[in-house]
Amino acid sequence: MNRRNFIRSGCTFCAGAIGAGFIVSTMCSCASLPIYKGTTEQNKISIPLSNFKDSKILIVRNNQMEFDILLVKNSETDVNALLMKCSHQDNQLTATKNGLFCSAHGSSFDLQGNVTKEPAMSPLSKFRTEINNQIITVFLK
Amino acid sequence: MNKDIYLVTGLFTPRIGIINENHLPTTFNGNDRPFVETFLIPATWRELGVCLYGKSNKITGLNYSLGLVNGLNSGSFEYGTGIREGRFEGRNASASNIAITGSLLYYINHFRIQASGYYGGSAGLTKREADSLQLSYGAFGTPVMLTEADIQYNHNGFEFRALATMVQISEADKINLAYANNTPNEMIGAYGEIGYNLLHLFKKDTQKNLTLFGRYEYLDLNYKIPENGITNDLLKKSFLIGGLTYQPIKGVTVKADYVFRTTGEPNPALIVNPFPQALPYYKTNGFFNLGIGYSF
Repeated sequence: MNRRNFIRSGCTFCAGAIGAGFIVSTMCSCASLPIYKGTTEQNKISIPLSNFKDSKILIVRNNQMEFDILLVKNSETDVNALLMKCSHQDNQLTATKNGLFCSAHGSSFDLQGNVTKEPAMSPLSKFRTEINNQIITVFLK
Repeated sequence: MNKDIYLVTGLFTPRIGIINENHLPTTFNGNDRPFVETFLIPATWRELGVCLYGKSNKITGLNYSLGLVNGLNSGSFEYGTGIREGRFEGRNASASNIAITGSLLYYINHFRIQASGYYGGSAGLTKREADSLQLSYGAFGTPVMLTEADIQYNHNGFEFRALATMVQISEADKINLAYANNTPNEMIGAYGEIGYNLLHLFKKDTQKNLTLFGRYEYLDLNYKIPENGITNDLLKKSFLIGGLTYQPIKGVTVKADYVFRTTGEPNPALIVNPFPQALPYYKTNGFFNLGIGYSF
């Protein structure tokens, strides 16, 4: 192996190793988002506030609903409830700590449901919420 | 199927590259789509098939897809346009060969990182026809492989995207024997783009967009050629693009850009009937483009 090839392959290997290490470390540090499986009663879902212990966002899953709901805790008295359905073509959304993303066509939304990247043009559907006695109630209608 | 997995069947756009799924004019800078995603990844690339899409509950932000689609038709490959003309796109799909396509997509810290691949047959013929042309027949006969990786970043008005891709046609020599279309063994291409929304300087939560951007692209459509192929430096191209994208409202865009194209010297051996008064070929050219786009 000549000097040029050695430098080239050495640099390629190092860059690959650093890149792989970065990806693995970021993936390990990124824990999965908590999912709360709730049931609906009279078009309402109740979620204990204690579920927000480790994260300010929580996915609420209910078998009677086609899409999940993302709860975003803005403060002790204010929680957003966003339907995780893209306003562009009704695809499921992927939620992260930084926003919601549509893997199908690239739309993205902030944690308030506003469009941050097209092709979606309308904000996400929101549900009214109430907090009483450490229980969040999401009104589905 | 459930809240994490869904199935798409029929005519759909596989998750390959950035533009293929996300091709509306309001979603990319410049009047032209990136040339790498026109000649190497032939976006918009629709195929008949079935594809499973899903997201992981264990790793936040990880999405995946795995699909089976109709293959390509190497008889329609045109010199200088890669595999673009070989797409069936649902019309007259022969279903005499198939392809597998898959992707991994990961959202993390304002980044979108993706890798995807495609592997499928390109004979596009019945066994009898393929045998008569000495092409490999079967589900993956006369294979075409495409691999791609891309990364995007969007935050605080700043955006960045980069993509690299390679197309490999291992039996290009057989295709050339059958169709004489000078098909290469390998094609490569890559681009990088940065942009900044100038309106973000004045209002952080602006819904309008005035992005100043720059993009560099390089592609080589005959990176490796078979023994019976003819090389042509004309197909080594680079593009330097700079411009503005203005969106007064969502769904509408006004674009202005300048494209500076550089190519290699054309191979005179490929000019079969030279025209006596032919104009000289310029290896560099510049183009001003203005356009309006909308999505609905």
